[in-house]
Amino acid sequence: MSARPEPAGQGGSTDTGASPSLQSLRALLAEKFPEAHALTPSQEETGGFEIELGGGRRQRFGARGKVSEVSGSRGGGALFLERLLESVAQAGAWAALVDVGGGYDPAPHGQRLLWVRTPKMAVALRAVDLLLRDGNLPLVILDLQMAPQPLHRIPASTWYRFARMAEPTGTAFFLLTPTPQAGAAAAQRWKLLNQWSLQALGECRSTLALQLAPARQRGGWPMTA
Amino acid sequence: MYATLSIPEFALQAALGHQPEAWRRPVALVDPESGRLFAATVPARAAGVQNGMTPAQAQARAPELELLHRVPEGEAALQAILLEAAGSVSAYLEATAPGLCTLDLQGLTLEGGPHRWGEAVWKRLASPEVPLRLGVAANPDLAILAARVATEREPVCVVEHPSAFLDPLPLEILEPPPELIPILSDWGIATLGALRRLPKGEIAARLGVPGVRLWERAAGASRRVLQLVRAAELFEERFDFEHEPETASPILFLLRRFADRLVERLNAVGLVAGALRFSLPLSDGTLYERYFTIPSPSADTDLLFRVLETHLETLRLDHGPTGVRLRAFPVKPGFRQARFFENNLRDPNRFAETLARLLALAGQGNVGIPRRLPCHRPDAFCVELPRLGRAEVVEENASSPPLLFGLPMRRYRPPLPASIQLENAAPCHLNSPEASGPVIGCLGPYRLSGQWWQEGWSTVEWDVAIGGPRGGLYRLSQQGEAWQLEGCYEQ
Repeated sequence: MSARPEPAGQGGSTDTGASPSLQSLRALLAEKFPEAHALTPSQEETGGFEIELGGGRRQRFGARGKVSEVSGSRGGGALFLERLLESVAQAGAWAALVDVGGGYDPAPHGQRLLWVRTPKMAVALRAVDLLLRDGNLPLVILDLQMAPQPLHRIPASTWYRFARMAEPTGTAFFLLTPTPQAGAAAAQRWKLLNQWSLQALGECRSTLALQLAPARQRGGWPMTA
Repeated sequence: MYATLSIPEFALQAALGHQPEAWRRPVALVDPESGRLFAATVPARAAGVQNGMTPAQAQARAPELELLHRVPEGEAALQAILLEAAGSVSAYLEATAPGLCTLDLQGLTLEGGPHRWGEAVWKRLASPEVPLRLGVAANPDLAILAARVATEREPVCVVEHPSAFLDPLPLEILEPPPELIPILSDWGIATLGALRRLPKGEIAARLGVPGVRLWERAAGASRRVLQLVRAAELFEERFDFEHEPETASPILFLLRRFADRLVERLNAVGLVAGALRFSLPLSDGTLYERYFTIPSPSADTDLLFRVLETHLETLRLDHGPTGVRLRAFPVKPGFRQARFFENNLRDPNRFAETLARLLALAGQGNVGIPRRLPCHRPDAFCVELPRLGRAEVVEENASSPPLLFGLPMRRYRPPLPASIQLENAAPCHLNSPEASGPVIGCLGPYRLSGQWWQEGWSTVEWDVAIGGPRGGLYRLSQQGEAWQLEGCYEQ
């Protein structure tokens, strides 16, 4: 239960008792300062990034200082990644994307996205190590969807090490993989269930984003209306 | 009160500064313009060498005399150091002559009196590389004379009683006009005291204006306004190696010392380092140079040193360095009021350091902010390094984001070669290292033109759904007869 009313236009509970002028003022403030309304009060406490799903529902992914894992079919998850980066961009925050294979197709909202691309797994893990130690960025994403090397060769201890490094700095660390890798080191695990057909390539991307179907497998928060 | 800082044997200091043994040999400097001797060391003068001689005359007197040309660059650098040192004492300073700088001390509190203050200033500014003399007096010309009279043993000379100070000094110290020297000599005037005792009116009647000026200087009564200059803010440290170092350790050691000194100097004038320029002259005569911007300008020694250390960790050179140079570019400590909802980096300097490490790790062009180029060509983007520090402000995005269609794609860079079977001019089977199988559906063809100077369609693209265990959604492109797998949407 939040003591602060949810900002207008964020899908939160609406303050029906507020006068129309107050509501219009809130709407004006939300429009003028979107970055101030990008995080709900509960998010400010625990971190995480909200993505709007279909039917007016919103789902919060990730947590401050924790490892979160999102798996889907190989090569997939690009839409989820784009939505996640958009959510970070709305908050006006910095994010780092360590891209093994360098397959990321730059999106228009990339003012504060630090992209590190490399074909080598060892370099990518070292880059994540540096970024988590740095502690400046609230979000670090390691995208292994296009990794050319087999993922099972990464020692399991790597993810525990990253979890320990992310905790003191409060950095939310996301791992995008074709199959779950982080085990118990991941505080949250999600599986993307979407099976896209050829017709999806002709639809508007914001409409497709509403069809994202992440299944919560470990930790995380329930979906909010 | 006025003070004068002087560097004795200025031209020789500039030429022989880093060779202490040269001072013990007969060495003379030749002015390239006049072709005559300009300055000489004490052993050279002892051998009969005098300024103004031709090199032949000088070598006739001292056969072992070494002749060197003046070093104008060295003199300019030494003068800049002198002005910078003077600028740390007072803002009102005059570059009186090469190696001579006069300061107006108005508004300054000379703590402990002129003597103690002068000694404290000299201790702060003098160094083995730059010997200084300091003169303090009631007027500029008297202060200059005091600085000239100061010696190595007593480098600070304070004139409290002008008459007692001036009277015993030889007339030559005022460098009188050449036409007056024989006249005064005939009169038997050899000291300033003897000149001062002559009536000023009589001097004016016989010697005119130059004579009156000389008399006023000899009496310590001359008054003039300083021609003020602004001290050059040159914050640079340098060291030349006798032997090329084989590891980075000696360079790091020096850089740490340089950073300490620079920070001390910056603190003295209330500035911080906004950028650093690190240079290594190499044994093959080239210069390795790197410029570092400090995202959040600072005068923290550890921070400045870390920037350099991080760079040196990954530096590989083909030739050994013969010296080290470090220059700090000072800026005023800036305080920018952040916007209320601004979400900036916690420690921009640390982030810049991490960025440098990432660049060394992944390589140039693989780290940065990806930006789409303003064109419709596929995969047209550039990677820019973030502009941190003062420029690190989120750009206001006035226009609404473009409407995008379809799933975002993950690209193969470079595109993978593919072999395609066609049926009714559309792909029906794909075979490539990443995916293979029958085409169960396709969208296209999407024709792309090349550059404006090219005619016709250069590329044809297809979005295809591949069936089978190695299937998925892919993008294919055809250039001429060659097919390529551009990227995948889902496998």
